Amino acid sequence: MDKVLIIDGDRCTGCKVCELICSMHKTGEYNTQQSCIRVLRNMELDVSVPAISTACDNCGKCVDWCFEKAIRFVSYPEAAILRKQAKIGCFPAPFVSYG
Amino acid sequence: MFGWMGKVLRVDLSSGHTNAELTPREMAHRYVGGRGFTARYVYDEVKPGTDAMGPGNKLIFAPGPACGTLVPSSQRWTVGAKSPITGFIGDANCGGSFGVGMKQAGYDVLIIEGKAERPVYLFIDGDTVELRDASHLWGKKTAETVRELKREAGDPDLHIVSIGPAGENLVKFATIQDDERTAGRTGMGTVMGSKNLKAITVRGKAGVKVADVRGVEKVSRQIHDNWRANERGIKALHDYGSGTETGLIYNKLGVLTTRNFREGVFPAYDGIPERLRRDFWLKHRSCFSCPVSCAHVFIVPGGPYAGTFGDGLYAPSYHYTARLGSDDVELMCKMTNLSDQYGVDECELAGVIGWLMECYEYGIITAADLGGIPLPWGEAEGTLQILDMIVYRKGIGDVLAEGVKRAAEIMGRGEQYAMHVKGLSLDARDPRGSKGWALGYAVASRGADHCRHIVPDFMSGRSPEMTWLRTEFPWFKGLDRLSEENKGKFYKWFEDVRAFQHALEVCLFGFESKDRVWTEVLADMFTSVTGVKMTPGDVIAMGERINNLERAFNMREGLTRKDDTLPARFLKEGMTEGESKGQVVDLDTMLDDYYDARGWDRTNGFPGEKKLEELGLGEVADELKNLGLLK
Repeated sequence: MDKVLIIDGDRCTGCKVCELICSMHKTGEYNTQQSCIRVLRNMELDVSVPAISTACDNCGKCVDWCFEKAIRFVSYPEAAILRKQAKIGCFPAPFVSYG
Repeated sequence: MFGWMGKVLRVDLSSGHTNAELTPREMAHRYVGGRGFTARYVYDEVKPGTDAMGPGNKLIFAPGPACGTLVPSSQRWTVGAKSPITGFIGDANCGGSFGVGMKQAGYDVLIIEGKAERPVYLFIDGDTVELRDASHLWGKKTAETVRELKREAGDPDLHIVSIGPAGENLVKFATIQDDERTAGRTGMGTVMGSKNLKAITVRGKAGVKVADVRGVEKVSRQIHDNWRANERGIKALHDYGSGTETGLIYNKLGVLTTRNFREGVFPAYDGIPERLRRDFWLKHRSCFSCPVSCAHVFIVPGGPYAGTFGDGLYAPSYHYTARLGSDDVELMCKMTNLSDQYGVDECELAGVIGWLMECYEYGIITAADLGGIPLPWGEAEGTLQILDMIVYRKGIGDVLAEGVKRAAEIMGRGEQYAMHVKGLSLDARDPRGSKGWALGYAVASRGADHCRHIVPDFMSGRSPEMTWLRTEFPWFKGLDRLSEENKGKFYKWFEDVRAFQHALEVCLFGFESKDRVWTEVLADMFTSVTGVKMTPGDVIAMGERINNLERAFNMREGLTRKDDTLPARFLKEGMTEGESKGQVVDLDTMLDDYYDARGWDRTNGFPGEKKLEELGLGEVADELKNLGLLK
C-alpha cells in the first residue's frame, strides 16, 4: 500500500473489468465479489466510483486493463498534490450494501 | 466444466416446487448457452399448439459460458418462450447484469413453468430459491420495483429482471427489464405476466472458472485493441451511441423509416444526434465487461418533461422520431422513459402508433375511433395518451395492445399499412434500400428482426472495414446494398454467426474484427473459456443447428414459405425519394438463394431429413416425420 489509486469518476463507465482481472489474479476465478477493487454505483443516474480494499497490493492489473484510463496509481506525495488541486464535485451518492 | 456453472434451475409456479438439475454436458457442447439453450428447451418442452399465454408455455432464461468472465461484452443473456405476438418461437436478447447474477448463483439455465395463483416474485440466492409474495409490487413501474427489491434485500448489487404494468396487463409486446437494459422483442414480458411473475432477483457467491486464463486475456486484449484501432467506430459509439449516428447514414442513403415506412428520408432527423450529444447525454455507460460503452444515460434538461431520465436510445432514436414524423427530442426521451417504466417494446409500439398515424392521415381511422384523440404525424400529447391507453388496455388501447397485425385485423381497416412480418413489427432500416436486411426481416425465426443477422450490406460508421470478407467469400463482389445477387448465401453465413454469438452471448458488435474472420475470434473465445476445442467451421455448424431447430419449432406451429415474406409495400411500392428512390425488393429470388444455401426445400422452406441429420438433429427429423411435416 505504498501507492494511491487515483480515480476519474467522469471516465469510469462501470464495466467492472478492473474487478474481473483483479479477482482472477487474486483467486484464480472471475468473481467480482472477491476483488480488491469494487465499483460503487448509482446506476440510474450513471455514477460509477471505483473503491479499493486495504488488501490491494498495488499490482496494477486493474490499471493495465482499464479501457477508459479512468484509474492510475501514483505515489503519496503526487496524490497529496493532486488532492490539493482537485475538487470533488456534487453528485448522486453511489450505494453500498446494508447489513 | 469450465465456463458453464453446471446447474439448471427449474421452478414450477403452479406447485411452488423447485428443482436443480445438472446441465447436460452434451447440451452444453452442442448448443453452447444463451439462445442455443433457450431454443433447445423451448423446442423440447413447449409442445405444438401450446397456448403462449397459458401455463403450458415455459419461460427460459440463459446466459452463455463466457458470461461473468473477462471476455468483452459477454454479459448478455437470452429469454425464450413461445411468442404470444407471433405464435412462433420467441426470444429476446439482453445486456445488463442478470446473466452475471445467474452465473454467480451457480446456474446456466432457469426454467419457469406453470402459473402462480397470485402475483409472486422469485428470489434466488445461490441454492436458496423462494417464491415470495409480490402483491406490494404489482402495479409498480419497473424502476420502482427494482428500488423496492434492492431496499428489501439491502443489496444494491442484486441482479433483477422485472415486468411493468404492460406485462401485468398482458399487452402482447411487453418487455422484461434488466437493471440497465431491456429484453424487448416478441412479448417475453407478456409471458412472464401471464404467469403472475412480477420479478426475479438473483445473486450468489460463485466465481466463473475458465480453462485457459492466458487465452482469455489474449483474445480479450485483441478485442480491446481492435476497438482502440477503430477510431471512427469508437468515436461514433462514444459520441452518439449505437443508434443515432447510424440513423444519419440511413437518412443519407434514403432508408430511414419515415412516416411508417412510407418514405425513407426525414431531413429533420439530421440535427437530432448532435442535439442529444450536446444537451441530453451524460458520460458513457458500459454493460458488464464491455469496453465499448455504447449506452448513454440521458437527462431532459428543460421543457415540459424536464428531469426525465433513462437510457438506451438505439430503437427510440428512429422509432420515436422519423417513423412517427416527429423531430421532438424531448418527446422521444419521454417515450423512451415511459416504455422502459411500463415495459413495452419500443419497436412494436412505434409500429402500432405509426400505423395509426398513417391510417389517420387517410381518414381510415379517425379521432372518434381513438376516443377523441387526433393523431396527425408528430403529435406529442396524443401519442402519450395512446401509450397510456395501450398499457392499461383502456378504450381502443385494448385492441392496440394486441400488436399492429392483430389490431388491424380486429378493426378490419388499414391492414396494408400494418408493417410487420409474422406479426412482429420491423426495425428502422427500410428493406428496399438494403436487400440483405430485406431477406433478414423475411426469414428470421422470431419475425421481422434485424439482430438475427445484421448482415453488413453497407458500412455504418461504427464497423471496421472488414478486409477478410473477400477471402471468406471468393464469389463476393463487395458490399452492394441494392443488389439481390448472392444475398442468400451471404445472409446464411451471417445468420449462423449471429446465432452462435447469441449462444455464446457476446454482443453483436462488441467483438468485431477488421482482419480476422469473425468465426476465428469466436472460436478462440469459446475454446479459451470452456477448454472444448472449436474450429471456425464448428462455429457455423453450431449456428446452423440453432437456426434449423428454430425452423423446426416454427414448422410445428404451421410456418411455411408464405410466412417468409414482407409487407406488400416493400415488394410493390418504389421508394419515393432519396438515394434509394424507385427501389423495391425482389424477395423470391433471394428466398430461393437462401433456401438453397440452407439446404432447405424451395417449395415450403423446410429443412429435409438429410440436412437435419447432418446437423445432429435426427430426432427432430423423426418427430417432424411423425407429424407429417417431412416425407
